[in-house]
Amino acid sequence: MITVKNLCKDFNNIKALNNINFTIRRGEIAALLGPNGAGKSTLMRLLSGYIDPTAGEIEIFKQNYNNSRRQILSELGYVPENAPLYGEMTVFEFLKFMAAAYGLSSPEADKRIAGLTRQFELTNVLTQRCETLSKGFKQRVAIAGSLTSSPRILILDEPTEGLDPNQKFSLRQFLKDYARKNIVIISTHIMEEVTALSSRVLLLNHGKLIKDTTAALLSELSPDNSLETAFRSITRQKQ
Amino acid sequence: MQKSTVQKIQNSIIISLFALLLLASFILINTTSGALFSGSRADLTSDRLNTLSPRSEEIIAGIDKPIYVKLYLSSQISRQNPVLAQYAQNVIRLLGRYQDKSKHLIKLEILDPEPYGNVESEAKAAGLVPLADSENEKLYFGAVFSDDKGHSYTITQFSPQRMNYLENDLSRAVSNILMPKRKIIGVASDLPLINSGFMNAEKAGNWTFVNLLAKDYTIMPVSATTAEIPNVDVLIVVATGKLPSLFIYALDQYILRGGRLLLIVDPASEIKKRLHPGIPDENLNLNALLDNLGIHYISEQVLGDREQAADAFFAASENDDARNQVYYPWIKIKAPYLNPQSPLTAGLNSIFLKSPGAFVLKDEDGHTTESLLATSENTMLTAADLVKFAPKADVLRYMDIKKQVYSAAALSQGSYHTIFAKNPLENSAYAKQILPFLTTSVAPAQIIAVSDSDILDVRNWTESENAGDYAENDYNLSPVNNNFDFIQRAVDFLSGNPGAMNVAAKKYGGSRQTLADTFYQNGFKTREKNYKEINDRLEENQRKLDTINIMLESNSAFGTAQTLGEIDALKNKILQEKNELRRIEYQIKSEVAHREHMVALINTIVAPLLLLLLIAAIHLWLSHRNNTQAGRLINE
Amino acid sequence: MLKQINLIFQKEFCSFFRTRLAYFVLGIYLFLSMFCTFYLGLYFDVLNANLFSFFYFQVNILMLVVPALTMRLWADEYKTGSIELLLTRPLSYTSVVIGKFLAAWGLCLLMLVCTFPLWLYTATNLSADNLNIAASYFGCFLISGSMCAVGCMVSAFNKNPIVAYLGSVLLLTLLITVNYNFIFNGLNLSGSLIIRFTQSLNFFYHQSTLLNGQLGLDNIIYYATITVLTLWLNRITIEYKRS
Repeated sequence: MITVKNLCKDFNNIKALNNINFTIRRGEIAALLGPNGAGKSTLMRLLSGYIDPTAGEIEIFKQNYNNSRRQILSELGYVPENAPLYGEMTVFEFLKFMAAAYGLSSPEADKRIAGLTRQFELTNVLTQRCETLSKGFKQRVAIAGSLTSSPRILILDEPTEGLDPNQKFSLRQFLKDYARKNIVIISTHIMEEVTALSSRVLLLNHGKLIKDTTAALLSELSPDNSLETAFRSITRQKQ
Repeated sequence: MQKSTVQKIQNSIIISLFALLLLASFILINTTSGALFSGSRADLTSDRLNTLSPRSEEIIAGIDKPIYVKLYLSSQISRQNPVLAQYAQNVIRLLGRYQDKSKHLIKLEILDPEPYGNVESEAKAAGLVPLADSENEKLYFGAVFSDDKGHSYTITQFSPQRMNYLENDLSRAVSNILMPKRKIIGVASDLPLINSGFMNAEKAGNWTFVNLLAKDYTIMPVSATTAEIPNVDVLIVVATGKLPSLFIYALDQYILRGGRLLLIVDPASEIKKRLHPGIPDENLNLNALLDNLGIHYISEQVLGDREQAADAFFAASENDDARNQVYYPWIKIKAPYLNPQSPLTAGLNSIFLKSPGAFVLKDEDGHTTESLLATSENTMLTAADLVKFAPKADVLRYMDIKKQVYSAAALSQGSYHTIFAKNPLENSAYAKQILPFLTTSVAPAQIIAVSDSDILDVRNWTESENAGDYAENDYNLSPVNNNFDFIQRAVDFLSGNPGAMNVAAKKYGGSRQTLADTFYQNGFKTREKNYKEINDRLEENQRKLDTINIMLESNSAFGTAQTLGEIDALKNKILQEKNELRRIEYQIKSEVAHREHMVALINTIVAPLLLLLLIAAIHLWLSHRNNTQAGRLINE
Repeated sequence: MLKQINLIFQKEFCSFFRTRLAYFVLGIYLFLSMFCTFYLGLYFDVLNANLFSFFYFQVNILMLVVPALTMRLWADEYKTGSIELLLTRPLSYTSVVIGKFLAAWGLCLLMLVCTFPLWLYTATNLSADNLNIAASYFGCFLISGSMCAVGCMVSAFNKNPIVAYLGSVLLLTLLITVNYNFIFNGLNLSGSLIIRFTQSLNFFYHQSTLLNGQLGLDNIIYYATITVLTLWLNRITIEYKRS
């Protein structure tokens, strides 16, 4: 369970996030929705422990980053925006490194990597250097990397960026499966993804959480029952 | 807005405080550790180059007031000459050790005497000798030691040739500043030791050992005909022939008055023979005086030593060619025959003597004797006259083996009786002008007697090829034998000035050989036989030419056409052979240059490339292994 | 902790080779070292029992080469965004900092080891002072360690490797050439304490004693403090950038 209380983040006196409160439970896929600059990535960085909040609390499985950072991080998989990889490594080396970073032993890691390779169809690129991969492959390698430890929380920043429709479909299927026992948080501005995936929608605008609802309830707010229209009308109103 | 400004100021204050704290802790830790540990460093050189000898430490421990050391080092030197740069580092490092050990009472200042600047004129005024220079700019590398009272001591030039004696020189400089009152050394001799300009204008100057002693002492010539020794701290007497009776009287009385005497007697002085070949020798007349000191001098005999003999260049018989071979009367005395118990000889490596006389020591009432330089059990004796006049091969033939140890130098100290039954000057005109006649000692005396004057010959203890009797720059000498060290220690000991005694020589630069030298030697070895053959032929022809010339000069032959033709032919041959030798030398040199070039090229280009290839191969192998592992994983 | 340090060390050390940077730096280093030894240091004409011709130039060469190793260590992570990936794994910041530093230092060790053939060659042709040479190598290793730490710290400050390189070279030049005596010379103080005080802060002083075969605890402490303090600054910089 992730509990966020009164979370604020300032960058040089600019309020990137202002007084955010929410709770996400196991089995939920939460989509962070919002226009560019709404604070989605900031919120994800805060949740993944990469940056510290200016005020407020983040509690993950009843622990916080101040006391038990490494414990939380060992339960958490995070793929930042644009899926950065170590370009000079081969896919296999990268996955091995990520597994080792989570403290997996070599045989354990091999087993896990074999599974993930099949899952994300990486067999043909396993010995290829990461910098030579296409965007879609990079995205899949990054996700596979953060899944090496089977984390209880998976945080993905715009995960379907660069994937073809087939890949998008299979990723969504995987995430739905994965979320049955775990927590998945994705950030996106693609409405179709929200509808297809999420059980929760957290709508952010100008650093504020303006709606915490489901995709269905959100779309009902628009006259044509379309999520996109609802999104546009809400975010434009607030501007 | 205001709030943010306040926060910014707060942040910057915190950051600056933090930076200050960091800097402070860095300074604190290092100054503390410097104060605690800089004096005690491990010396990680196999020859203990960074460790000062106990005697140096003693000298440093005696420092109670600041000593200022100005090291003049032209910055050009470091840039132009790596050999000197290397040596400059050695000097600075060693001076640093002195500084550390003296608890910084030695204050080192390094100055760059830029051409035509104030520092340069200061260096010049202090007596520094510039090094050979390239563009008419004089380069200096020397030091001036001084104290608050205005005493000073100058090392005119640091020369890499004296590398191994650097600590000696520095310790001597420091001890001189500590004991600034210069003692007076009187020198009396029948050899031209001092300022012999009137005899031969070209060779004006003092003997090298006198010049070197003059760095620390005031040298005063004493006439060998005087009846009374003037007031000197130490008297050096070198006697190779008969001394006037009056002077023997003076010596006798000098000893009884508690004199300090370094007496060098030599029945067969080779240096005298070389300098004055025509002067006939009179035998020594110092036996009575020496006997009185407890040193029995075996009359007109010369020592040989089979165990410690050195090589000389001579022909074994009339039919043989001259070559380097063992010549027993030339002795290189080494430990343990250099008395390791005496501070005068402890730690010295070798002393080279040529046909020394033989001493037998005996202790008597009132005084003790101690041998300093001794022969081995395989000693031989021969008549001094034979050594002086006969060919070397004959000398060897007439040497008798004596299974006895003799001494070639000894120390006698204590009180003595006069050698005269009654005052020989009684009733003479002199008697009233000089001090009264003594029959026994009024103060204990110290006498060091040495039985060879060749110990003083600079050729016998340096490797400098051009070192004549009167070297121009004595500081450049690089000793191979410790003859001078022994004389210096003797004078230090007798004058009661411990000086830099017992500062052992160091071995900077290991074998003291550069790689270029090694290459040259290796190259020479392969051609040695050929070279020697040509050289022998050359010498042979040269000899033939000389003989003909002498015969022509002495009119025992006439300049007939045949003789002249012979001379021409010989001259041609000599020229050819000289060219041949030069060609071989050039060949070796060009081979060395080629080899150097190859080694440099291999090390600079080839070896790095090979190493990189090796590393790349290892890297490739590792990635291949990784990829195979990945492949296996997929297949499983 | 050790496991984590080892992981980062391996990653960075291998990445020097994967990115070919190691070959470039090694090649440049070996070429410069040997060129200086043979052509500027007059290797054949100088007494080289302690490999003087080689060690005389080492500090200056390392000063130019080491920043090339360290420039990418942090700057690249910031540039590509992989820093987010790295710092959101369950690894302590200290072990990441130390791991990266050790990787650079390890490569320095490899660089020095690659010059051993020269030692071997000298020792077979001359009677070399092997103890002194070993001590000088140890000195170079210590010096390169402090240079790596400084380079790592500068690299953590910015995203551009070129800026990191130039910054490190500048900082190292300052560190090595500044003789702190001037601070006190200006004040006209010449007490023995002051001289000792400034001497113990001089990089050159420690470097020259080390390379001359004099090893003191103060030399080790000097380089260790530079290394530890700059690594600590490195860690703080990362924390500071994160918040």
